[in-house]
Amino acid sequence: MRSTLLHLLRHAPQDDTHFATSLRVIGPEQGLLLIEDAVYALLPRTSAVNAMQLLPASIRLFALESDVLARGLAIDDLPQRVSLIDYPDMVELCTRYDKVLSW
Amino acid sequence: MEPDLKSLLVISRQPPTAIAAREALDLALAAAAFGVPVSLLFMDAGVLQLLPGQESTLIEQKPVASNLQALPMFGVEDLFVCQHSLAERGLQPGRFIINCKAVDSAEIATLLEHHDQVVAL
Amino acid sequence: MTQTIHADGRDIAVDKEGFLVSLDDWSEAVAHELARREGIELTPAHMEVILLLRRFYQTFQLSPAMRALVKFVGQELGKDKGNSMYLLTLFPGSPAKLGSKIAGLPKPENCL
Repeated sequence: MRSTLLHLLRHAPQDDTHFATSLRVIGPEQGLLLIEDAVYALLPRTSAVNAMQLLPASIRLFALESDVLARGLAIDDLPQRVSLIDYPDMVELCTRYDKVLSW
Repeated sequence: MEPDLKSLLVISRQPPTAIAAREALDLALAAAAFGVPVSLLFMDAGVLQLLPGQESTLIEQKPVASNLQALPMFGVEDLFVCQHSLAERGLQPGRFIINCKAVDSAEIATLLEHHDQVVAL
Repeated sequence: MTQTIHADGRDIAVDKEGFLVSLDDWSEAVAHELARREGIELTPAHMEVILLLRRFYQTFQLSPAMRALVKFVGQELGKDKGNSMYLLTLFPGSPAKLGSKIAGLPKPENCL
């Protein structure tokens, strides 16, 4: 049985291998949500943000807006394909996918 | 709970320093004791748990090796290890304390997709 | 809270559920006393499983849950004994818990 999966990342890609790992094993139609320090993956011109840009277009990317703003990342610099969401969106997102893998 | 609900536990931290490694193992054994089918995937630093000869008592940590070897006895027999994580650390499957099937990234994607629940610790 | 039992000419501490406080206190005589407190008279058939439980603990550093105990006994003593019926006959109620207690092991963590 195929089911949908949301990868939930919480640690900065610069400090933690789980970011690279989840990008390596993410399947088409799956989603990736960045919260807490994982939003540092959106720092411009880093290998992390480049790697996300290269993911198949069928993979949806999300980031928790408050975590992005709290860390002073400029919204204008974010890749267009990243959807910024709030906490109610995050809850909704977690229920929309069959399962959530929290790295 | 449906009887055939199958869970995959991803072990991605390294003992003996990471408490998460011990927690993951406890979770696997507890699930198995209650008859919940569990598969295990060792990846990232978690693959280091599989190295033989770890004398963790020297740094006052309880070794996990004996517990890991008990997994098949508790009915946890689907054990996988990430090939990429092994290669990154210069390791090869075959000399580990328990038998694990080496899987590549595509196979891991399939594992994640086909289990009903996925937990990473 | 600890209590003491008397066996082997010694006083030995057990917890409020009757499990040995110190694993090193165990001997066959102690096993007989622990079993007597549970209303069981140990036979060679019991002792065979008790010694196996101790070996399980030494090997895996775990007290076995029921499922694991059945499998281990089956592997070591054969299919005739590696089933829950046989073990329940020896240790009525909860073989893993009762057997572990008499074998001087910590209470199985995964056994309600």
